[in-house]
Amino acid sequence: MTGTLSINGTELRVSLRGDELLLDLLRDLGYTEVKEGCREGACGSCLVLLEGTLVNSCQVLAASALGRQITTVKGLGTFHQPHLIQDAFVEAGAVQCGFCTPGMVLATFALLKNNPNPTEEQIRHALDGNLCRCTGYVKIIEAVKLAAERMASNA
Amino acid sequence: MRKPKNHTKSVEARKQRGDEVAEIQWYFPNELDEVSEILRQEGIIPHSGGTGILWGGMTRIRGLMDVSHLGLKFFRTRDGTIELGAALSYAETATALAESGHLLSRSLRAAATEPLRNRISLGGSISMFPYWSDLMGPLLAHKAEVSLVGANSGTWTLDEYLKNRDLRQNTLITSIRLPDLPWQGAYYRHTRTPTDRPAFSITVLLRRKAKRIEEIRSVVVGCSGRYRRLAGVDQILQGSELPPDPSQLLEESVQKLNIDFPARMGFSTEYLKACAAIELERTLASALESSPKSTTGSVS
Repeated sequence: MTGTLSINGTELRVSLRGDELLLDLLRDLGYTEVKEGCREGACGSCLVLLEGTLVNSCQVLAASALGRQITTVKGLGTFHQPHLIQDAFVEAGAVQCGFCTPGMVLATFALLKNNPNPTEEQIRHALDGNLCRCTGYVKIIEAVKLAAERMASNA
Repeated sequence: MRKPKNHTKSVEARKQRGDEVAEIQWYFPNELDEVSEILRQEGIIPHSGGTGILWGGMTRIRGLMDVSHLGLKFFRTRDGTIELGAALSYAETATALAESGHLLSRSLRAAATEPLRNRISLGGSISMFPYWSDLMGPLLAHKAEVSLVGANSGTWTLDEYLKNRDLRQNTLITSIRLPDLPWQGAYYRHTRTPTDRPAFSITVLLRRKAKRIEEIRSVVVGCSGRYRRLAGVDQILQGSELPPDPSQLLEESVQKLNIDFPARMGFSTEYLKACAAIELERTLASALESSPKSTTGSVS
């Protein structure tokens, strides 16, 4: 089957199988910032925003995303023009191997979009679908708090 | 050309054996009138969030009917009834009910993880009914009803829908209704970590007048037979006057509990049975302590 997807603001015509996962489609299209981890919806490495809502792309059949807007972490900021959240993760030392970082940044973005001043409990709840095996979460939660502060002062 | 990948090991295994695996056809109806015709074909199932479909494997699915254009994401309260569109996600439902402190809002907030709560839909979760469901206990305790279109159009109690497999064939759930009544309540999920699937869950709803329990409904999900209303326990407590310290009464009522569990998640049958008795007593106590003025419950 064929259809269109809007990925990070770019409209793409794609050809896909009916049982294909959004994760596989995105990676095959070159969006390798969407990481392949558990493929079970448990680790959060493959998170994307689908119409602004945080989803595990390994748990989304690509056909159901046709005609919709997808944002990967590269849609938020680039190496030269990072998003405030990405800056905050670097400054707080919340990045080690970096594999979980795209998912963490997108989960943070989704949280702060709806709740600009979250409590620590709300941060933990919002990031409950993201696993990190390097830093141990303390620095990540600090990064989210820092990002919230920066975004509030830039608002 | 991109290399096609399959997400299920079963599909890959079948292909390696040389079996023919049919391409899955997608349908995107815009009107409910189109649904019956599509579902009349063999091997086509509704797709809302899709998470349950992926867990169940897709080797027998010929087609998927996307329900996102059918207007099934709605939340209404009228005439003492809460009506939830079947395409609402767990997260959307929890948000819609959060202000009232509804027990369902709390149980769904505890389910799965944030991105999965954004994707799992009410209708899909009811039709799949996994043993770890954080939706079904509160719905069953509230005596919810489901509205269907397709081969079995109409409104049925959730209990009827679950007991009659024929009702589920070639049918789409469009909405869920539950009475909007002020219950006291509590919900317990038995997990190893907060984001774990529960091996079982307990829901208790009760209404009381002063010290007398006027009505009580206890439901266990995840036991043998998937779910059970604990009528024996409820019979003991219903109509009883609560003493200043109700712990002995609760202990006695739970002693009558006779419920089995399949071994799962590293837990033995005996262990789950013992845990269920202890946790039922605690959940009953928690329900009694919850505020009688609202539908607020607790999730532990």
